[in-house]
Amino acid sequence: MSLEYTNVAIVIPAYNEGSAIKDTIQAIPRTFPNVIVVDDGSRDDTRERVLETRARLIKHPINLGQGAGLQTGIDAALLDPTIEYIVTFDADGQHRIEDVQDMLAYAEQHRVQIVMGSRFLGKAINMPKMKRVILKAAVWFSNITSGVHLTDTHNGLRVIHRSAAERLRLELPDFSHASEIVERIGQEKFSYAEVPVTIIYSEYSRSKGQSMINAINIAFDAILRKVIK
Amino acid sequence: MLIRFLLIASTVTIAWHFLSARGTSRTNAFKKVLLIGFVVAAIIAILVPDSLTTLAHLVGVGRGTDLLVYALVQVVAFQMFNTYAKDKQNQRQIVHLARRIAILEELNAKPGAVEAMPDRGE
Repeated sequence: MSLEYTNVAIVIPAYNEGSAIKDTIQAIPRTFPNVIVVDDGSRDDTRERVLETRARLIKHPINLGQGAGLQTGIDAALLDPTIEYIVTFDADGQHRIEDVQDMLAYAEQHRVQIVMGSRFLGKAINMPKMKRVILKAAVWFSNITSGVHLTDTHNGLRVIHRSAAERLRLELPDFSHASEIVERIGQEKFSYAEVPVTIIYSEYSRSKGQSMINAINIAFDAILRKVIK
Repeated sequence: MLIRFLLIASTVTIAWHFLSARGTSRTNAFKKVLLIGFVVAAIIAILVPDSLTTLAHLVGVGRGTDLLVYALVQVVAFQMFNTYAKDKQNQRQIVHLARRIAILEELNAKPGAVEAMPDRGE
């Protein structure tokens, strides 16, 4: 496949990812000319590593959380009117670019606004057992609270069409953003689909993953949002 | 009794501080009316302690002190919730502000210009 993805922006939120970010960016082929890294106030050498690559670097002046990073990247990508699709991509190298291509093809063909990657339809290599249990619980919980039916809600790999990205407006700065995106799909009635993807859990990505106890925070916040406002 | 004097003085001082705080919105005006009501009620309760007990009996509470404790718990809980909501709102504003700065900064950076901003972390 040698398509030119000039209308696609890959958005990578990064926080203290100095040891992985450069490899992650370099693994993205040149056929994807628009790569935007949002540095979320890292304290390591993330910025320097990104500057060694071709990616655009946007720096949060303070640490705001991954959800805020994604929204910043989306805002920056939308400034370019030629961008039609935004791809959200994790900094730790757990995603494969082949999956992105599949998802983009799917979005084009089926005219879907949001395509989510699903490791439970696809493959999750070396996934810790505990992580599988928690993620499954998160999916079950999210399906109940959002009315959107997915098999994998906390996958960092997503393809978002401009029409949806413009209305996404993520407000939850911390790790609740995955649930928030799903909720927004329900609220805004975006058309969505899931495409199987492969996630490779390296030693590194396992060490970087959000802590499991955070699931409690996320669940509690989600319930609270239903009650308040 | 000295305690009466002290309580009234501190109530009036606190109220004075709140009232002199600037703010023009309608919710602020509403708060000020409530505050004056509170001060009046507090002074009556301090000067005529039995009035609190009478009020307590009226609503089915044994002692005036108990009524005061219940009210206090409610006020503290409300205050905590208020602070929490305000905090969330502030946080959201900070996020929007920081995002704006981040994007403007990137747009302003000339292509090829050296990254000269020593702004790591905080």
